[in-house]
Amino acid sequence: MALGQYHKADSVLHRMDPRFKLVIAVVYMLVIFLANDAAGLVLVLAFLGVAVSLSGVPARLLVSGLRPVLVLVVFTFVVNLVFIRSGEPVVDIGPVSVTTGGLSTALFMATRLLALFVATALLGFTTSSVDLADGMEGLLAPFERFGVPAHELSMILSIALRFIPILTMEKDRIMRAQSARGADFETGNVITRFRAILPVLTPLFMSAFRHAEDLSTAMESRCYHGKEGRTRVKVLRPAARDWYAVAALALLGAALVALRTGAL
Amino acid sequence: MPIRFDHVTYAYPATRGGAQPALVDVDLTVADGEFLGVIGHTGSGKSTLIQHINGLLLPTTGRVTVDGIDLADRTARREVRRRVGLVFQYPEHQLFADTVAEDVAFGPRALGLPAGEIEQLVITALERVGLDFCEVGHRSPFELSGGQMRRVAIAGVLATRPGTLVLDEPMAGLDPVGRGAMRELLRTLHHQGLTVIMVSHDMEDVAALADRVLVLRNGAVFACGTTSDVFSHHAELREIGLGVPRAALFAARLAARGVVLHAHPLTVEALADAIASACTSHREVG
Repeated sequence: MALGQYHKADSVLHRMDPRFKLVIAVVYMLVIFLANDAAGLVLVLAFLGVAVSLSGVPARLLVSGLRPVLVLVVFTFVVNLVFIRSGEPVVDIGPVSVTTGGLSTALFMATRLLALFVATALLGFTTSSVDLADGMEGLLAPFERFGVPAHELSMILSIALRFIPILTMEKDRIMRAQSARGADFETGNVITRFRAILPVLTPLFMSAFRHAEDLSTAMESRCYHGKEGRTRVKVLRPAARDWYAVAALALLGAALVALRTGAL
Repeated sequence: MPIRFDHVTYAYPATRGGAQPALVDVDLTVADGEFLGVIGHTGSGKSTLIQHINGLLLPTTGRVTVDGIDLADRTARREVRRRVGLVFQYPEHQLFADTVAEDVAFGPRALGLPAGEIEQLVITALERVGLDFCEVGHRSPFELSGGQMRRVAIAGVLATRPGTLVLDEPMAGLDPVGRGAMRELLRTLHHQGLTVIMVSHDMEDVAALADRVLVLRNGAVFACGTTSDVFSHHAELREIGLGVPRAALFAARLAARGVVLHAHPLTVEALADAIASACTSHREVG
């Protein structure tokens, strides 16, 4: 997924307080489901469009980041198209018939899903893993008094994110080494392919443990001992732009509610 | 089995069309039974080069053939992978099986050799790297020492009886004793008739083992010749950030001070011989 594929740039979205960005992204994803007609959908997409254009993330990058989930979007579209049988029939192809109801639901679901993915990707592209972990820690901080280990959780998150590219590289290296010994990862049925993964998985786990060991030694030797007494280089402080974003989202939410209740 | 690189250029997919390719017009022949050392700066294309030898990477332009088999041919690639054994850097990191014997058997099994043959292949392969099947065969590879694990990994590659062994930095991370033992192992394997191609950044190792040296720079062949010939070009090698063996350097310093040795020593042993014979002949003249 888009997490961990940070695109370095200097945009309003990049400079935003990560706590605000996280909350806004999550609330936006919920708000998407308030839209149940064309006008609502246009508003939802317009909000996203503005965010994308402010983000400084090249469209090409965004599209390539979404390629893996496109399958899911297309699948959703097709399933809704084929299985929903309300409204007037549009086309009839043998056992499959497409109705107006099916078509509109399919369009709605696929668009919502796409907006969901774009929003997540945008968050990933504009927020470094360090910022993301900081934001999460900031948001969890109030729950610390109830025993939620906010600092530890965010440290785990940032380490996990940091290691995704490293372990990916390692996986490629091991796969090459085993192919050189005649391993075949490309042919065969599900079972043979699954068995072919074992000679990759075991060394990969070994290397993950090795990395964990090294990292913990490195952290310990720099006197890391958890949150107690730790100060920050970057202290999170909301700026005007963060409140503008909240206002924009509130406006979107209000407009969608108004559309739903027929006030608009 | 001669290995031919016919004007090979390779660009990694991500940089294709843009930046500098990883290999530029490499033309190279490795003869049967040869020991070729490959040296060059980090990022000079050494690792890219060796991955071409068994088709893990395919040239963007140009051709690689092993024994006349073109590696572009998918079905032939499997056969070439059996003939060319590739040992990556830190090969012990790719061990995975429950026992040493199982791990070494992985290659022959993947190539579909008959089960009856495999055990003999495993025994022989372990023996060739100086390990006893009865002693370590049933043990977990993860409880061996670092040097032994590396030997097991090399045995895993030797198990398919390749005619050529390609190694990427086989000495990396070994202590002096392990280093010496690895040198001895590679020398023995070479004397048994294997063609060996070794990537190294240690000039001493290359000088001690290789017949011929290939110097890469920015993906192109900077120099290729006999070991003593290549290492006689001190200034050029220094210019591209590479050293020469200490013995060669010592001989050059002696020459600069007026003591010319009648050989080009590359190892400490050869240097001692050359100095000794120079002293003897001097005494005879005197």
